[in-house]
Amino acid sequence: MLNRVRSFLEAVLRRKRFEATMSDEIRFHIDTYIEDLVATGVSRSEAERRARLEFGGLESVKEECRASRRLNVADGLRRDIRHACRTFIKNPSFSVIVLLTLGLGIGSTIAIFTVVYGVLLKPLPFPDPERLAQIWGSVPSRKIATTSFTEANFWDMRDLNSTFEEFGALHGASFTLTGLEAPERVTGALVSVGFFRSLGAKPIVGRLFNPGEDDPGATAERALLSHSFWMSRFGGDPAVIGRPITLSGRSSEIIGVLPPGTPWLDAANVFVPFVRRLDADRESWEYTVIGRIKPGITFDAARTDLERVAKDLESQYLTNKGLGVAMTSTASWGPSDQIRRALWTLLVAVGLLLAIACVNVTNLLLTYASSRRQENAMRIALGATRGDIARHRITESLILSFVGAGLGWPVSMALLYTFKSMESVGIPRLSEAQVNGWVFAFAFVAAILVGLLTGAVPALQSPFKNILSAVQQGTRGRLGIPSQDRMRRMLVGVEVALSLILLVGAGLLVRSLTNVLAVERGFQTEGRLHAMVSIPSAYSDERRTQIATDILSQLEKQPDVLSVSTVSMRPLGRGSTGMGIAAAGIDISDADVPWASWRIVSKDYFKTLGLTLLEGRGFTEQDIIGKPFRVVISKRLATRLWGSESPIGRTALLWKGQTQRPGEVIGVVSDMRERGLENDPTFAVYLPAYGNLDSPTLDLAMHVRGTPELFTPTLRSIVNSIDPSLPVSSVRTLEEMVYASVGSRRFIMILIVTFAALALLLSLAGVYGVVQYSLSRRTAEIGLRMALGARSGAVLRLVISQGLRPIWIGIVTGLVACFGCRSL
Amino acid sequence: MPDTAALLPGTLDMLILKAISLKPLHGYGVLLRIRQISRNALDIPQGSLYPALYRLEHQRLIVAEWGESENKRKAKYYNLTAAGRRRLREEEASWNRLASAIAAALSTTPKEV
Repeated sequence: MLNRVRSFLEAVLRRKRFEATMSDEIRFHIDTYIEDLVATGVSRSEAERRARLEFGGLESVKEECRASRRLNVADGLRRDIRHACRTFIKNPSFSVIVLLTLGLGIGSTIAIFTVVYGVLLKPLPFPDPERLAQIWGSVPSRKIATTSFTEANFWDMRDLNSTFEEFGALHGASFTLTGLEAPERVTGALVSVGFFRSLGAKPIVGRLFNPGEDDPGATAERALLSHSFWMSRFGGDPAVIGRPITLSGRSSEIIGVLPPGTPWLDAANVFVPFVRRLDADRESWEYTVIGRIKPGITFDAARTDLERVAKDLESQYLTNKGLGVAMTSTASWGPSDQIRRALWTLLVAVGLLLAIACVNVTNLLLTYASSRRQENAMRIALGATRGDIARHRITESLILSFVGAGLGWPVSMALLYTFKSMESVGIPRLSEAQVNGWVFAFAFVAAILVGLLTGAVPALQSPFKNILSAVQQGTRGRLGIPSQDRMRRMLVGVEVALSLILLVGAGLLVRSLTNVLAVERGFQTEGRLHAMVSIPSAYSDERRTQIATDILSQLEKQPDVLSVSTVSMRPLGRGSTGMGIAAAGIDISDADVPWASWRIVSKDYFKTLGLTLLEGRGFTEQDIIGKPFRVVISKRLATRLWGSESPIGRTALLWKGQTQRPGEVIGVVSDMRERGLENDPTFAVYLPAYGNLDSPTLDLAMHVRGTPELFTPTLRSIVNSIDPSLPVSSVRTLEEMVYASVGSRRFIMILIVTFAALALLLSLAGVYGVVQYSLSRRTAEIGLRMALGARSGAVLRLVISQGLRPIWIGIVTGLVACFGCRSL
Repeated sequence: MPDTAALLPGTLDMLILKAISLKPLHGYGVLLRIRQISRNALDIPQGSLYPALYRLEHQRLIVAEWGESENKRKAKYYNLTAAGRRRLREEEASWNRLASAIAAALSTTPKEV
C-alpha cells in the first residue's frame, strides 16, 4: 500500500519526468522494432508504418499507462478544480456571497472552538496532574466540607504525612511596590517552598525557592515574579535575577521568574517565601494547600494517610477538635460548572449558526446547479457518469468551503482578539486561548465536513432524467425540477427552525441576565465608587490611624462627596470573612449555627451604600471595636436569631465555636446581596472601624455627586496631599463591580445574541433567495395567469402563501424543538 | 503469424514476470522474450505491454533502471523485486494447478464417467 502511494506521489510530483520517460521508452520500442523489421528486409517506410500500426494508438497507450499509476484520478481532480475555479471566477456575486457566508460561519466556529479548547480541554500546565491534589480542612459536625488550612496545621500535615512527595501552602497578600515608578499596590502571595515544587513548575529564568528556605529563621527577603509581571514591569529582561525589589518597604532579592499559566502561577504578581514560625497560628484558617502524591500511591491511599494525621492532630490539640481533612483533584482547578456549561452551549450555538450557513450555501449551490442543467445534460450526453457529476459537485463545494475557511481564519482571529479585550469576563484561561494544532485540525475537519455536507444535496440531485429535453430546452426552459424545488423549500424550513432555536435560546439568556440584574440588590450603585489606599506597615499604628482619619475627614469636606466610609472588605469581591453567630442564652447545636459574613465599617457605611437603618442606631465614633463589642446586624440575621422579636439590646455570641465573644446588638439594617447578584442576601454582621483604623489597607466606599469616575483625580490629589507615598489602587465604581460579577454570563449572552442575529440574517437571505428564484422562474406562468384575468392581488396572495409555507413549517418545527430542549 | 494462441485474461502479468525473471529486460525485449520462450506461440499486443509494465512497477513487483541497449541506445531495463519473485512463484503454482485440473478434465473419456 505504502509503495503504491509513494509511486503515485512520485508520478504526480515529478509529472514532467514521468511523461518524458514514458515517451522515451515508447520511442525506443518503436525505433528498435523498425530497425529489426528493416534488418529482415522490409523497406524503411513500410517498417515504420507497420511498427506504428502494431503498437496501436500512442495516446491511448499513454493514457492507460497513466491510469496504471492512478494518475488519471489526479488529472481528473485537477481538471475539476480548474473548471470549478473558472466557473466561480465567472460568477463573482455568487462566489462572494457563498464565501462570505461560509467564512462567517466557519470563522465564528473556529473562534469558539479555540476558546473551548483553551479554557476547557487544554491540559493543565503541570506534569503528571493526576498526582496533584488540593488539600482542605473539613468540619463534618458543622457540615463544612472544605475549608482553608491554619498555619500550624499545614506544617504539621507536611511533616507527618508519608504519602506526599511535596506539600506546599499559599497565602494571599499584597505589597506596596516602590522604587520602580509611582508607588503602587501589587498582588502578592506567601508560598512555602513545596508549593511550586508540588506543581512541578520550571522557572523561566533563575530558580524557585529551595528546600530549607522556609525553615524557621530563614530570610523572607527573596522574591519570585509571575511571568506577566516580569513582562510588563521588566520587559522580560533576564538580568532581573539578583536585582532588589522593594515590597512594602522591605528590599527583597529577585531570584526567579515563573512560567506563564493558570492556575496558581498567575495567582499573584510577586511571591515571597512563607517562612515557618515556631509559634504558628492554630486558629486562623487562611492557607491554600496543595501536594504532589508520591508515584505509585493512589489518591485514596493518600487521603487515608492524611486522615490518620488529622486524627493524631485532633487528639493532640484542642483547637483541632472536630477538624478533618478533605482532598480534591485538579478537576476543581478548572472553570466552574456554570462556565463549563455556558461554553459548551456556546459551541452548540455557533454550530447551529454554521449549520444555517451550510443550508444557505446548499441552497445557493442548488440554484446554481439548476441554472447549469443544460451544461450537465451535455456532459452526461457526452459520457460523463453519475459519479463524475457528483464528484464534480463535491469538488466545487470543497473548494468553496476551504476558501471559506481561509476567509474565516481572520474572522476567528478578530473574534478572539475581541473576546480577550472584553473587560471582566471572568473566564479563567481565556486570555491564554490561542490557535494550536488542535484548532487547526478542527478547522480542517470542519472545512471538509462543510464541503461534503453542502455538496451532498446538489451532488445527489444531479439531473439524470429528461436529459434530452434539457439539452434541447437550453436556457429557455426554466421549469426546473419539482424534486429540487421541494428540497429547496425543505432547506429553508430547516434554516428557519434552526435560527428560531437560536433566537429562543438567546432570548432566554437575555431574560435571565436581566432578571439577575433586576433583582433587589439591597445596595445602590448610582454615584458609588470604591478605592483602596495602602498605608505602609512600617508606619506606626498612630500614624496610620491619623492618615486614615485625615483621608476620611478631607473627603467628607468635598462638596461633591455625599458620604464616605471605610469597609474591611468590599462587596461583590471573591473573598469574604465569616463567623458563626448565635443568640446568647439559647441552646443551639453547632451544626445549626448560622454563618454570617462580617465587615468592619465606619459610621457612614450604610448611608454610603444606600442601606436603610431599620431599627436601633448606626455606629458613632464612640463605638470602639471590641470595647465592648457592639454590632449592627442585617434584617435576615435578626429574624433568624430572634424571630419577630426586636433584637436591639440583646446579646449575640460572635465567632461562635471559636473565640465566642458576646456582643450587643445596637441596630438592624436592610439586607444586601454582597456576595453577588445570583446569591441570596447574606447574613451580615457589622463591626465599628474605630479602634481598627490602623490597618495597612484602607478600603474606601464613596457616594459622590455626578459621574463617579470623574471623582478619581480629586481622590488621588487629596491622598497625595496627605502623604505622597501612598498608592491609590483598585478604583472601581460599584456599577462596574456589579457588571464584573455577572461578567461570564454577560459574555456568553452577548455572543449568543450576536450568533442569533447573524443566524436570522442568514435565514432571511435564504428565504429571499428561494422566493426570488422561484418567482423568476415563474414569470411566464404569472404572466399567463394575469393574461387570463387573474387579479394582481390574487397572484400576490398565491406567491406570498407559497413563499410562507416553508417558513411556517420551520417555525412550528423550531418551536417543537425548543419545547423538547426545555426539559433538558 | 501462424499458430499463435490468444492470451488468457490475467496471464499477461505472469508472462511478463517470467520473462523478466530470466534476465533484466527493456520493454521491447520483454515482447521478444515472451515470443521466444513460448516458441512463437504467444504474441502479446504491443499496446497492452506498457500499461502492464507500469502497473507492475506501481505494485513494486518490478523496478526500472536506465541502461544501454544492444543497439547502444538508452533504454529502461526492468528487474524483478523480491515481491515480484514471490508473486511469480505463486502465479506459477496456481497456474499449474489450474492447467493440470483442466487437462485432467478434458482428457476424461466416456468410460471413466
